[in-house]
Amino acid sequence: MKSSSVLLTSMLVQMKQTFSRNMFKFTLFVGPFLTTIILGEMYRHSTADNFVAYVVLGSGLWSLWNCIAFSSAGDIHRERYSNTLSIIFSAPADFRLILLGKIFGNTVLSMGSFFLSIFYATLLYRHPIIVNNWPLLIAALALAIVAFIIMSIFIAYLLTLSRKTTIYMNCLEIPFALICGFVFPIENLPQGVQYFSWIFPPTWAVRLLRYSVTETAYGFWENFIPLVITMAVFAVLAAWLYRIIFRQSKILGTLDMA
Amino acid sequence: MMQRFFSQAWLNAKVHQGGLNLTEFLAYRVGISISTLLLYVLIAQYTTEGVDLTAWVVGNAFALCVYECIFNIGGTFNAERFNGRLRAIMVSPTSKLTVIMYNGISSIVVGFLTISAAFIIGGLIFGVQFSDINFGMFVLAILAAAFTCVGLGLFLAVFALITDSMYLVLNTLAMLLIIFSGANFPVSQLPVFAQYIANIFPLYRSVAAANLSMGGNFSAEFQQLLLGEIALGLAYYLAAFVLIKVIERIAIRKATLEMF
Repeated sequence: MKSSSVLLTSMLVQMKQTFSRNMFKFTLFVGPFLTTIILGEMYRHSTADNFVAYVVLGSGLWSLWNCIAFSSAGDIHRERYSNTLSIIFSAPADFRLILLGKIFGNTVLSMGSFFLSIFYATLLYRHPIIVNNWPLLIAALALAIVAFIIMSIFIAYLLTLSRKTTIYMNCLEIPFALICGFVFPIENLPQGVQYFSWIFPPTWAVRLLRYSVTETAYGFWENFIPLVITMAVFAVLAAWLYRIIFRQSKILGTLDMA
Repeated sequence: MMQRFFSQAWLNAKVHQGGLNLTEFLAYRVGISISTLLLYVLIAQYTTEGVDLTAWVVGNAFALCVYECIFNIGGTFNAERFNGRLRAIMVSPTSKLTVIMYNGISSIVVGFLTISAAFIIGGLIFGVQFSDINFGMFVLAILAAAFTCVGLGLFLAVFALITDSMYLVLNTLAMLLIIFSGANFPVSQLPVFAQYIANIFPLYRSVAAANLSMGGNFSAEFQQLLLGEIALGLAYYLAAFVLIKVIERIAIRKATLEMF
């Protein structure tokens, strides 16, 4: 079976399965609406720049992160629970392609939550959305999605061996939004925590997105270069992690232990 | 009777908490609570440019009740269905609300501890003046909030007998509760109809009461808020008691007990 065919089939199956889950519908439609209200009300008396950067983009990014990370990490748990994890792991089709297809499927669906958040923010608050550099915003958004995908692959691999996926998955949501500065600038965090934030690609992707909106907050290259470097590091780490997990899963034989 | 209640509560506590080692317990139970509180208070710090953040620390510490009371207590029957025990519970002569209650005991204890830890840590980080707190009033506000949130949890748990979409219901309610609690922004900012809705949600009054405990005394306003919260809690318990009888019958008739 061709790689592209594995990728596409896995992606389509994933999209159908994911969309049929009511919880995903919450993450896709209801969650962004309620998150937008919370952020919108908290930023009600803030500046127009802040509103676009932290309410419109912030709620969109938070929802996108929830959809991609929760679904991708949760899929490992679901496969294990359905007794299919060891099957897709040992199938002739590459497990990495199957997983990537799943993450692509989740990403396509999750984009809906991002655009819905923007729609909700515009509809509810009727704030003018002023973007200084639209082409840059689109490019930064594409890079942010790639950054989220790389993080999702890394997390999904990391959770493959664990039977407590749900616990770790829940532990990721808020801390990530916190340290990557989805809804407020990371400069608000203590300096030590900021160094930790710099490790993760979403931090730089968020800053780049914000730069495209305000063009005053941070410089372009100061964010673009670290973003590319951290993405490359996490991609290499994910590849290395896969090799370890592939070996460990065969030694331990615990993939089916739910 | 009481012995059986507590032995079942202990069994459930082991089911819920026993699978976690200390690091996982701290990350899952305490870590999430603290990071949630930090996230909202940091947004408030940024938007208000660092005014006194006590109200946000207090409000968000209270809002953490949501996770234990809504998800754990509200998700009782959902979890029982998943574990294949729901049919056995339904046909047993035991009170179904008792089943939810003994399931909730460990959640209440863990919830109380994590909320206290989050409040103390958040308070230390954001410079809350603990000496200004009237602890008698503060503890009363916490108890009233816990009482009402458990009532809402009981009320919600019943719906698992007729729907397979409990995660959707519980997540929506949890976020609505945060919105209507007034923990992060004044409810008066919302449209008038939403302000009326806030009145039927737990925490709206208890968060306001807890904020009055900062350097306050047992004023008429505090007592009114507290009594209102307790009355709301009682209404939820009563509604849960009535609803379980009705929904139990519907669930058996429509055979929705094992619907996934």
